Amino acid sequence: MNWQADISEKDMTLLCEYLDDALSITDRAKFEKRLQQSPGLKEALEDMIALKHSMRSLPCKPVPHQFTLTHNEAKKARRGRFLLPTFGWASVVSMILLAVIFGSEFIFANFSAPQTVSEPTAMALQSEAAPESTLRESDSASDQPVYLLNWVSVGGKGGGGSGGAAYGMGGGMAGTYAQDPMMVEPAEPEGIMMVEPTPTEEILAPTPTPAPPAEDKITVEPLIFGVHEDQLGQVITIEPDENPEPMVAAVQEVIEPAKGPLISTNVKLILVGLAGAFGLIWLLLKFRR
Amino acid sequence: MEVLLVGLTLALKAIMEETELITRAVDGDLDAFNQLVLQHQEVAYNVAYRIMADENAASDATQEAVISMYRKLDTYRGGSFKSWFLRIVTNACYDELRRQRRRPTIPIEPETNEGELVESPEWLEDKSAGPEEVLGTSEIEQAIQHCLTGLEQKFRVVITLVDISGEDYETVAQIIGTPIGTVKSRLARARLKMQQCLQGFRELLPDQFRHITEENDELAS
Repeated sequence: MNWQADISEKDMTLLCEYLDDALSITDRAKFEKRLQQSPGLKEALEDMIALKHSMRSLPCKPVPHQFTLTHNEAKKARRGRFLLPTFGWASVVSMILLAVIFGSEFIFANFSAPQTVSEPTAMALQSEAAPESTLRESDSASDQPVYLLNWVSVGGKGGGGSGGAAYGMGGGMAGTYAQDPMMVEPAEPEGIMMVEPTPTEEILAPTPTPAPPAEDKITVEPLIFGVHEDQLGQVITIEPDENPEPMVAAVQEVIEPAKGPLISTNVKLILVGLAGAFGLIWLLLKFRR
Repeated sequence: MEVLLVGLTLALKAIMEETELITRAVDGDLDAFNQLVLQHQEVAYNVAYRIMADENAASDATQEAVISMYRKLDTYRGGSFKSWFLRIVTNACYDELRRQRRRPTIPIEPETNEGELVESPEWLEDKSAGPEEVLGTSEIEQAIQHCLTGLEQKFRVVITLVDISGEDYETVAQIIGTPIGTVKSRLARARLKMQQCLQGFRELLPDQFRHITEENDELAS
């Protein structure tokens, strides 16, 4: 009977386990029952017994020589036993460091870029951060109506990053949307930044629109975010930031994020060199063995 | 009962002696290490020989395994020393086989001064199996070794360890570093393949084999 074609792999495994006495008592009893019912399985078992017997009866080959070690061989064997793992690990650590550096730079470059600031807004921010010359000009034009602008710096306190920028923008926009922001007396308490109407309208609306005449003002209620209606017209604070950040620089920072790599190229090159050198030494040691 | 007790006592004594030898060898005692090698070298060499199917390669692999074992002595974490040694031997055999595949041996035939090939120089002659030696060795052994060599490496190792070396499934699983289930399935397939291969040598096989193959022939005709 050609049992080889009929027997399944599972049955063959069971047969081998039965033959090697590796079945539990229950499984053994079950298998013996099957053996009695299936002549093919019985034939297979007989063949396997014969095969195992033949394999076991193979003569033991005498060793050609003693495999013991002499003192010199032992010394030689032990000499470089720490070198191989040391260089192997050093190479792996260098590679991991390199991977971390490149990975983090890639992540910073692709996923942590500052929010894009549209050109008009950026210009508005820049103009909001009026340079001193503008301020001086405003002093000379004291007959012009003055506007209260907030002095929240870009990336201001509590905001941080783009959030701060947005907050600063919000302040600027409040004045803009009001079209004619809160008007105050020229001799306001010290600390309030007073500037003449800045050309924000011009900046935010690129198409040049004629500025409203000074006589047609106060047609819209002033709007300042975060100020209750009942507080309108009152002095909220008279102290500006003690150390106001140079806004132009801050705006520049937002517009042009730092481009330099986190880790200098030299360090990277050194790491690449070390990883390569350690790897080469490891390979040399490995092959010498 | 008395015989059983004596046997148990002897076995315990042998285990204790081996444990002591291992401890001394780990501490750097070369003599103790060499005694351990002497105890297991025959099994190790035979396993290597059946896997490599070549005496020189088996000898190299065993020597390599002994050196490697000496280097790794401090990583030995208890358990059967024989299993640990056989694991290192099988790994050495794998390395040797890999090396052979990478650098197959190319016979270099010497030339005479006139540029003609020397047909059979003394150093080129095959010293491994002369006719007298072949007569001396069992034919069935040659057939088995032939079939064994034809098996895939992973099957060859398992069947060698179980059927020739006589290790149990758990030990083999430890030696080759696979689950017991893998050992069982590999062994089943290896035995089946061996059985199929040995059909070609039916005149050499024991009666049982011959009887079955004749039946198969009748059925086929």
